[in-house]
Amino acid sequence: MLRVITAALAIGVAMAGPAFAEMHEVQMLNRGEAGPMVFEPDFLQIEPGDTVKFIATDPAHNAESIPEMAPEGAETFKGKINEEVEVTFDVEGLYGIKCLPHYAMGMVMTVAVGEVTEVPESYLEGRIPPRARERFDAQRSNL
Amino acid sequence: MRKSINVEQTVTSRRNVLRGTAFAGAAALTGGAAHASLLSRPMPKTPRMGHSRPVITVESAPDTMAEAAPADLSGLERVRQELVDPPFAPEHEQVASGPPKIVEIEMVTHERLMTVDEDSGASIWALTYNGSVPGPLIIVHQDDYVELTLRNPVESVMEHNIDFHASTGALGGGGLTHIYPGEETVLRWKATKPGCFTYHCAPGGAMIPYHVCHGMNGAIMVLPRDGLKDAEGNPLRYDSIAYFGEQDYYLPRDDNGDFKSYDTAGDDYADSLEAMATLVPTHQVFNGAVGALTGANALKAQVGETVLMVHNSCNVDSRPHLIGGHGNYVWETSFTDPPLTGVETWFVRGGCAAAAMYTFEQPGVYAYVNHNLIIAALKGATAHFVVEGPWDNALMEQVVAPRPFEG
Ligand SMILES: [Cu+2]
Ligand SMILES: [Cu+2]
Repeated sequence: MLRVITAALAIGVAMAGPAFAEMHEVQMLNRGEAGPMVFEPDFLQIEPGDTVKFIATDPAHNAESIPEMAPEGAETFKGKINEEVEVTFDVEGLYGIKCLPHYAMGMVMTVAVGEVTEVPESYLEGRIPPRARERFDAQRSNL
Repeated sequence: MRKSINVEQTVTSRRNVLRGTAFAGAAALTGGAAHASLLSRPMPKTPRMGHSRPVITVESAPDTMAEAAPADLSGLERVRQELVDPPFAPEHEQVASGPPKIVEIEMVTHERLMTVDEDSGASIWALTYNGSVPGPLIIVHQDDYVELTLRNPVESVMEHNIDFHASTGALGGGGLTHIYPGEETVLRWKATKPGCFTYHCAPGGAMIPYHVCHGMNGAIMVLPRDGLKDAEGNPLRYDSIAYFGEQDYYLPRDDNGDFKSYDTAGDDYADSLEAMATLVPTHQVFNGAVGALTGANALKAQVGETVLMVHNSCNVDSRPHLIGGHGNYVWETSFTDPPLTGVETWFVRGGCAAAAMYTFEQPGVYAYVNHNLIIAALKGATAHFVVEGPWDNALMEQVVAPRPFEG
C-alpha cells in the first residue's frame, strides 16, 4: 500500500505512531548539483512505512510514479504541478519517480524501500527518454 | 496510526473521486494503471514567482480510440510535399487537381542555438520544426489528409509534439504526438476547414509557452479545392507567397542587463519562465531574428506581381501593415468567409495565421511591419519587400523635391 497524506496528518502520525516511521524531504529544482531539472536528493534508501515529501522549491515541477517502475502491488501516485505532496511507501522494492514535464530532460529519482539489492529485470525496459535512463543508471549504483 | 490515516482519507474522499475522474484519460493512455488516492497540499505561496495552476494536462487521448473503426483511405492518392525554409512556400497547386489526397510531410524537431540580434549578441536555443523559426509552411487543400512523420533526434534535450489548429481531436494531435529524443511518430488528420492555421509544440503546462516562445510554431494553409475567391466568387490567384512568422522572445538578462547565453537547450528554463511571466517580449521579430527579412535578406518582387502574405503569430496579437501598399484581399481567419478588401492594417490574432493578397503597383521598398511601431522599430517586427519596375506618376509624383523656403 502506498499513500499520499497531508503534512498536518503526518505530524499526527509521527506523534502517535511508532518511532521508526521517518519523513524524507526531496526538493524539485530547476538546477542542482547534477545539472538542470533534478530531484535532490535523487536517490533515497528508506524503510517500509516511511514518507517522502516532495517540495516544490522551484515552480513548474511535479512528482509522479512510473507504473512500470514500481514493485508489484504498489499503487501509483501523481502529484500536480507546483504542489507539495507526501507519499508513504509501504511496499518493499524499487520505485522510479519522474517529473512529467521534465521527464525527457532527465528529471527522475529512485526510491529504494526496504531490502533492495538488485534491479528487477523489467525495471528499465519501458519507454524511457535517454537522459532519464542515464540518470536512472547512475542512481542504480547507490544500491 | 492506520486509524488516523483512514479518517483523513474518508474526510477528503470526495476530492479523490474528482481527481480520479480527471486522471482516467491519462490512465487509459499509460496502460490502465489505477491511480492511488492522492491527498496533496497546495503550496500556500510559490517561493519564486506568482504561478497559477496550469489547466492544460498532457494526456488527452480518449479511451474510445482503441475501439474506433479504421478509416477507409484506400482510394486516395499519396503525394509527398517537400517542405522548404521560410519565407518560401512549398511547391503546390492553387486549384486542386483531382480528388482529395494524402499529403505526406516530414518534420524534425531540431534544437539549435540561433542569433536573435547580431547587434546585441542576443541568442536563444531555439526549439524548431526543421531548424527554422517559424516552422515550415505546409500547404494542402480542403479535405486532403496531412500525414506527418515527426522525428525527435536522439541528441535533443526535450520532449516535443505538435498541435495543429487546423485539425480535429486529441488537442489538435498534441495528445498523440509526444516524442522523446530518439523517437518518431506518424499522425494523419483530415483538413476539413479551409484557411491559414497555426501549428505549435505543446508538451504540457509551462512547457507549452516555453516551446512556443523558443520558436516552435508555424503555419499550414488549407486552400479551398477550387482556390481562393473574392466575395462574388471570382477566382483570386497569386504569383508568389511570402511567409512571415512573428515570434515573441523573452530572453533572460544578467545583472548587468546583458542577454545571458546558455550551454544547451533547456538550460534557460527557470530564467525563461520568469522573463515570460512579465509578458513583455525582449524581441518580437519576423522569421526568427532581427533583420531576417531586411537589407540583403529583403523579399524581392516586381511591379504587377501578386503576392500572398501568410502571417503566423502563435502567441501575440499583431496588426500587420504594408507601408506604401495595402491588403487588397485579407482573410483574417478562414477562407470560408469572403475576404476583407482594401485593408489598411489587418489583424492577426495571437494563436492564428492570416493571409493578405496584394499586387504591387510601384517600384521601391515596402516595409511590412507590425503597426505597433514600437514593436516594429524597437523589437524587430519589420520586413522589407524590394520591388522593381516602372514608376507610375499617375499614382504618386514628387511635385517639388525638398528645398529651403523663405518667409
Ligand atoms: Cu520538472
Ligand atoms: Cu517542442
